[in-house]
Amino acid sequence: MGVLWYKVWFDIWTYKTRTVLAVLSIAAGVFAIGVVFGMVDQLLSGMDAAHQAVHPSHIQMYLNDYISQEVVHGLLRAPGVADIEPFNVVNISYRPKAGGDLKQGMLVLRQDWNNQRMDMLQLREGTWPARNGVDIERLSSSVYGFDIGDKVVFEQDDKQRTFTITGKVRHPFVPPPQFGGQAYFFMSSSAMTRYDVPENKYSGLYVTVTPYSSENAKVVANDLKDRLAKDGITVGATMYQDPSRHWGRMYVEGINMVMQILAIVSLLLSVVLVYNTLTALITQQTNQIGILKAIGGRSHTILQLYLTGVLIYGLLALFIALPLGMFSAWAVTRWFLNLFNIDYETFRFSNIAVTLQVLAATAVPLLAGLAPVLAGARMTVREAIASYGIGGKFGSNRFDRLIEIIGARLLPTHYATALGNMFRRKGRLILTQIVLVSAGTMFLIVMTLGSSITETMDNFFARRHYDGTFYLTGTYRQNKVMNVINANPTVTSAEGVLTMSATVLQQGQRLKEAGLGTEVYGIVPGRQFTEEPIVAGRWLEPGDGNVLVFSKRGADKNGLALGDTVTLNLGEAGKADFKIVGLYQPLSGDVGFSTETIYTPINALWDASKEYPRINRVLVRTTAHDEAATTTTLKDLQQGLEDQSVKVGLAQTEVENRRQSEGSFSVITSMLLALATIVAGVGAIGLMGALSIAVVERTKEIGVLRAIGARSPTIMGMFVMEGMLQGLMSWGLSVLISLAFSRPMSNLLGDTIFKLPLDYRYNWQAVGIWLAVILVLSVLASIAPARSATRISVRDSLAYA
Amino acid sequence: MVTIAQQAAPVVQVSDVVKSFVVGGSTITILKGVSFHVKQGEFVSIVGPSGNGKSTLLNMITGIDRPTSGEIIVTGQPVHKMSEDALAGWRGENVGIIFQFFQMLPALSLLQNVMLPMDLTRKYRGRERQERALHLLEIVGLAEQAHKLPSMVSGGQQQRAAIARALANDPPLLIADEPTGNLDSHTSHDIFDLFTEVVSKGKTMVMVTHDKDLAAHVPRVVEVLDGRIVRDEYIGHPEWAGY
Repeated sequence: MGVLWYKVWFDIWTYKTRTVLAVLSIAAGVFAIGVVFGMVDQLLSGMDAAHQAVHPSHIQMYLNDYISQEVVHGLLRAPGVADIEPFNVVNISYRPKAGGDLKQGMLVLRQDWNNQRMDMLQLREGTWPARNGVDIERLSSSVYGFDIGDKVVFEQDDKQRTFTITGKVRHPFVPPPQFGGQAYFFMSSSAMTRYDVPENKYSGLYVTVTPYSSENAKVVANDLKDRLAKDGITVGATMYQDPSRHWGRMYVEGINMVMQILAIVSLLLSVVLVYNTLTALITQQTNQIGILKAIGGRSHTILQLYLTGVLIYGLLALFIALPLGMFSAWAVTRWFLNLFNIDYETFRFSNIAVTLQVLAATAVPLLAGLAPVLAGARMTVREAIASYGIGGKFGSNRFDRLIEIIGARLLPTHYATALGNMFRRKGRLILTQIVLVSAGTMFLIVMTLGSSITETMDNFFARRHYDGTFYLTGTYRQNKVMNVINANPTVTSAEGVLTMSATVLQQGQRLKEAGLGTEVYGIVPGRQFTEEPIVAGRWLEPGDGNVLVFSKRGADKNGLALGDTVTLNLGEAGKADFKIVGLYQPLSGDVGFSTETIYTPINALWDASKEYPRINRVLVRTTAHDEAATTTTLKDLQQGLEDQSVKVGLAQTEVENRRQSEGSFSVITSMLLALATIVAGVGAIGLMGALSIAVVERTKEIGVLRAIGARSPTIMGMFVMEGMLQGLMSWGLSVLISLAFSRPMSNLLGDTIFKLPLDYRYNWQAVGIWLAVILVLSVLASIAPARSATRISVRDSLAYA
Repeated sequence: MVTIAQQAAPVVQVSDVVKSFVVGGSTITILKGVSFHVKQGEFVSIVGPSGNGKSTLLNMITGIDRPTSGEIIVTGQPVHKMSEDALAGWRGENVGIIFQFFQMLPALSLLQNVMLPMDLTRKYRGRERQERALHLLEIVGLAEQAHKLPSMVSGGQQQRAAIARALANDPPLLIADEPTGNLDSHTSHDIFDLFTEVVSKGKTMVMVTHDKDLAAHVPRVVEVLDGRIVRDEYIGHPEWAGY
């Protein structure tokens, strides 16, 4: 090994703290790149691969009546139809394994479990369901605690039946239970007859078309609707899906952009750190560069020498960050895909992410290091030997003098020195502040996003002036139900509601995007148990007749506007025309599982449905609002209702309801917070690097201070104080910048991730948290450089020059 | 009697050199039109009080600093016109510099420090470099310390190693800036003896020193005062007078 290469090795090995600092700086950015880009790449490809593996249908049709196999065969002859597979799905109430109240679930039947052709359900354990057994969806199994061999009780129309669970099945289109999904069960055709489902008849159709295009799928679906209508069969809802793209993509794509931005910010911050670290290295070795040049070293030798060092730092960082990033990307991907019911157990990595990591670890540090190394290589021997390089000129302008005055007035002399020192190297101060301020701003914006989500939910739930809801199985006379409710002393007031499934027709045509779960919600105007945020028009008012308040999303998709008249088709219950008087903003984003809720006065719904005066839901306001008290009240009320033969399908407290809503948001905010934490770590490393350089630069100064009596605690205090001042300064700037940018960012993130404008609330609590975090990080980052400063002797420091 | 030195061409030619610095908005002139020359094989001591321009003059000769005006020709090269990079390469082959604070690279052993100039210029082959470095360390009496780091040997030993390093590429000119300034008198004399030996073998040596006792043993003394040469004489060597 040549002497020069020995020097490269020696520098890396001997100055371990600096090496670790440089390697960690690069590794932090490379790791963030690996995790985020690896995750994004694997998530989308994993989702799509899983989606394609189940041979997805192009159209799902939910019929209002059952059809026979012969009708299905007839539809198969329609032009453009490639294949049709019938199925059944019915709502069911089941008793949870741990006992307690009934919960709602879905019961699914396929024509032939062993010969599914599309939207394939996959048996993962046990056997397909037989006459006396049911299978359970495996996600429902893990979340709700049912296992093979367990008994599950189904209840419908006052009849209870017990089934043994015989298998676990993967259903590719089950929404994550964290996002409010229900339990799914699977039953044989013969067993389903007990639930009024005629054997060998179906109310659902999976359809594939040829050739596939979204337009052709719609054409074929309309043709099938017409053909069914000729047989007197109406279609309740039609859903379309892209056979190549997973339905959960919308969750991932929204957050992808934000994650990628955060990853690139992390990489840029680590570039700043590499620049700082190399400046430190050059500063420390300026004298050596001078000697090298004095004895014959040319600029290219210096360049080669130090850039090789940079490359080694990069390769060491890659050695750490590559496997860690690959593994973390796979682990996060697996967690996320499992959430979407997709297996991802075999370790995999993204080629794109690995390529980006290699580039980030080698090319990026070389580019970042080029400027300080070139500055070192260009330095003349005189500059190198006589000084520490390009010197600071503190005190040469008004700002410096202002800092000096502030320090002199407010701080003891040695701490005033710390304040002045901070501003001596303004270029480096700016770079360090960029790192710290970016970390702080990102943290505050992410926390504000969280508080805005909370605010949005606070506002949403504040408009729901009740503590619990009873979902009744069927409709009951209002007086019968309300007499029981109002007799309870812990109930302050209650409102009976009638909800009905409906098809919305505009000028006689079914709306194209009415969706599976369009639900008309008949309430009493003026009672204000429920009030949605109105974005156009008005909310329901006492005296209103046939009027509707529509969701803005539903109206936009169907081209509906205020003042339009639509027909509500309530099936056998009848139909009537309603005028749209208001549009509201729903809380749930447009993420595929939400139902469109339409509000109308209950009297109008009674008139249209001839269900006068019946209700199927009760909103209850109680004296105490906490979960325990509300749960007790609801249990007492449920007992009272069932004593009066009023069957309760589900009793839910608002606290529980809110918990479910928060679940779908917390996954994303947790991921954002995790990235903000990485950035904070990068910031701390940056601060440590900047202070380490300061120690090297001030070696002589420290010697002078020691010569005039400064003891180790004083020297240490100066550097810790400088670190804290840097932290405090970055904290102030972060707060100012986040105040300016968090509102538009919150709107953008809300719109991008949740498809929902968030109610903005700046998170002042996070300002306090970040102050504590940055001060702790500053102190921790200062300790190592401060300790090395205390080890400098007068003789060494003065000889250094 | 005519010596070799008298016959040889000048190794260093300094002609009317002025060096000014701008400090705090005002210009300070350190060298005010200095001219002198050094012939091959000469041993010259530059003396004078601190801050009068001795080290600046030495820096002009090595190309470490540039004159504001005037010409400097060293080993036939116009040093004042050369680029930094060209200067580095030229120094590596033509000038051996010995600093007051030894300036050994702390990361390298004494042997590696001596090998370093040869690695930079590639003047000798790989194995030859190590053999030559060991030989030079042997000359300066450090063969047994060859593999020690600079921090493990005394100041005098570091300065001996620095002399060996200065000789590594067999340069015709050696420049020493206060080479004994950091050493005790006994060690200083040892170092001086080494310089004398080197000069006796045909090298040219220019040394800045504060040590009057040491300067008294140098054949030629150039005294710099207030940026000017006020004395240039040959002590005890009248045959050198006039050069």
